[in-house]
Amino acid sequence: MQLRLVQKYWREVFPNNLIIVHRPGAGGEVGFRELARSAPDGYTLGGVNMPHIYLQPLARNTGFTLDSFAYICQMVDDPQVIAVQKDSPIRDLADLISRAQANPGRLTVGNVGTFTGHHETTLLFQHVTNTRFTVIPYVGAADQLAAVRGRHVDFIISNLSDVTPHLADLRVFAISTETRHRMQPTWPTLKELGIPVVTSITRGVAAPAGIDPAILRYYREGFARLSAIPAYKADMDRIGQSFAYLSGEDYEANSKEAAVRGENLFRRFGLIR
Amino acid sequence: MWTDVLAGLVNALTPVNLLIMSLALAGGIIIGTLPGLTATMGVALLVPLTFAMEPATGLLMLGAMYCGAIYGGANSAILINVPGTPAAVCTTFDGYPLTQKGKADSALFTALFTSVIGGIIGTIPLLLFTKPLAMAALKFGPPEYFWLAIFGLTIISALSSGNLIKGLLGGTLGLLLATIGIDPSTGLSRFTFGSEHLVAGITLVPAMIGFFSMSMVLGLMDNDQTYVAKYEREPGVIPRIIGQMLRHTKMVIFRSSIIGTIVGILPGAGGNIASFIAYNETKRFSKQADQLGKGSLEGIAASESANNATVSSSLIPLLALGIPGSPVAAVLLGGLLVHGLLPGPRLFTESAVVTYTFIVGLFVANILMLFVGYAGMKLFVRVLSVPNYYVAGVVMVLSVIGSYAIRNDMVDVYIMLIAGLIGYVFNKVDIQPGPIVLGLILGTIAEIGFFQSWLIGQAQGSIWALFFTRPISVVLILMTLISIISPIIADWKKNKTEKDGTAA
Repeated sequence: MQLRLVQKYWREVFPNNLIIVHRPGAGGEVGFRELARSAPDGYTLGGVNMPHIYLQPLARNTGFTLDSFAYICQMVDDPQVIAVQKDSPIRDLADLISRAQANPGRLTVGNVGTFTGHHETTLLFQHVTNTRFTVIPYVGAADQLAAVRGRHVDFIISNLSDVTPHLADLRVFAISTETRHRMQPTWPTLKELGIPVVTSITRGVAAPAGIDPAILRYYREGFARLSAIPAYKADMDRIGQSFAYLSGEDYEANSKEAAVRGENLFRRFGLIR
Repeated sequence: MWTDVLAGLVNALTPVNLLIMSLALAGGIIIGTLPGLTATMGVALLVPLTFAMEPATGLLMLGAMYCGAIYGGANSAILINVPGTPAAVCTTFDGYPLTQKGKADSALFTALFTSVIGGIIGTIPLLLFTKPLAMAALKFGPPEYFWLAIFGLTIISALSSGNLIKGLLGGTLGLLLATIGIDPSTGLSRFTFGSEHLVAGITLVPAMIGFFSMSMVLGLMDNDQTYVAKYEREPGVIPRIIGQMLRHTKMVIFRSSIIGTIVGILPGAGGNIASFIAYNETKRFSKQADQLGKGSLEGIAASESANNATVSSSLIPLLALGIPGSPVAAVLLGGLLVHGLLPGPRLFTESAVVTYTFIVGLFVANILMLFVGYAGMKLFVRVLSVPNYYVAGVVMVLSVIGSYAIRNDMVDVYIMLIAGLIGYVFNKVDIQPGPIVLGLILGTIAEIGFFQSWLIGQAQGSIWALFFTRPISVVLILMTLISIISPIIADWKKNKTEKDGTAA
């Protein structure tokens, strides 16, 4: 979705054509692996997601790690949200937590996939609030949102861009940002509610590691300019993509820190050896 | 609402829109006909073209492509026993035998006519009942999907005309193949033998292309005929088929279209399964049930009206809730969002004109398809005048291209080739590809439904209650039981009357 918008504005910054090739499969893994394996000649770029890039290798042999990529920039910072269907009997976050503490494992929470951003946030939330839910993985965001709207799970931990089209039918309890989000200023942050969980799914652009530093610089500058185009930012807002540009260097540094924390978290829950 | 509908009709009938729809229909029919190219691909290719268009025109183009492609699969299913898209698998059962009997024209026109009717019937709920139907679709949770998949598996008995054991063998193979890849409940990989290439599982379309197309190609190379089948021109086929459809096949078409509409609304179930279920039900209620699978027009009518009905109905949860009812609908979601059209109630209020132009346009597209499709028919049927060796070669090339084009991954081509070999060998021992593909499709749905229901049931205190006491699940369980028992009863009755006959 977001890459389609990049395609729309690409020619304003870069002289050649951008061809988007879809590589569906395994929560992005197929695409990430292909990017990691591509020749670092500057002609192949790819979209990358965190925490997927550092979590997927924990679960299985993926053919890539965080170090397989040269990071060009971050484009989107998509924080997690906790939401229920609007008629749910759960009143608010405090109610959710107290019900969970009284009945461990009784409440069901929908996530997309395992070893994904939702999963990581769900584990962290349980750890910090000393609660246990039953996690129900769904294959895609469409299924997850359908599940909560149909009241098949008690609540979901999803992300901002996925819930935005469905807000009329949901109540959002909190968002996992540092401060209130500019696109949804009425939603309290988990941090302000006393729960120090600050996470998000980030999406960026990268090239295979080993790319010529001059070419990397060329792309970093180009994307910095593309990200500054006002019409692009407006389009992103309109479709609910939470635009947040970070330079390639910053993106890489943040991701490396997050990877260490993420691995410890999954290990604590016994999900990896 | 009706003023918007009228405005939509006027918009849909502008020369530009009619032209674009006709071109998209033609493109869609061609893509659908060529084995290896699917509806999802066709629509995905067109989405960037819509950036520069008016939203309504762009949507009409995508919708027409979708319609055309789903119908188009029937052409190759009938003429060369290769479904052009997964939705046309059931059309091969009766379409190809008819071609072999020299009745290709009848089969092709039946497919076209019933596709158009199915498409029109499927669009009516989209126009009138979108919101309530979408809300009803939400009630389908993990247990319901599980039972729906189990019900779907009972169809294997209908598909294995003759030998149930062989059908079950094929179905089981399909189920096993569906387990390859990432375990959806834990994220760990399964049966990949350490190879990262199988991590994403056995992709459905290349496997289907392999089981049907590639094995067909090998079969063509194997037999002694020069031509795929003898072609006999059937003059007056149009009035004759229309007459027959209206007199004898009304119920089949109507029932299959309704089945297609209902199944199409369920996100994740979609068009692939709808035609199987419609075929099964037609066999159950038909007075000439033993003709099904040997060249019955009813079989084609069932399959094609169901799959074209899913085109419109898969848009119901998409437009109302933003939840796509099929992979093509998911691509369409992208198309909508890029034009700033957000699914939900606003689509029918703020953007009402665009939305109703699209919906009414689907009716128009179906009617146009009758003409565009007829022209296509006359063209495609000429493949029967081409010698086997050319047909085999072209189909082989298209199969490779189509398999590769899905993910630009050679793994899919290898999957296709291996599936082709397996399919060819299985054909020799009369194990049909239909049950295998059905198992492959349903295996994932059944497994995901099962473990999600297990987890939710465990959390709620009673797994038993979750699986067996929900109203929709109960209906599906009953349908499954009926589906298993009714052929047994039918056989018992048949044997009884035979015995009575010989006794007297």
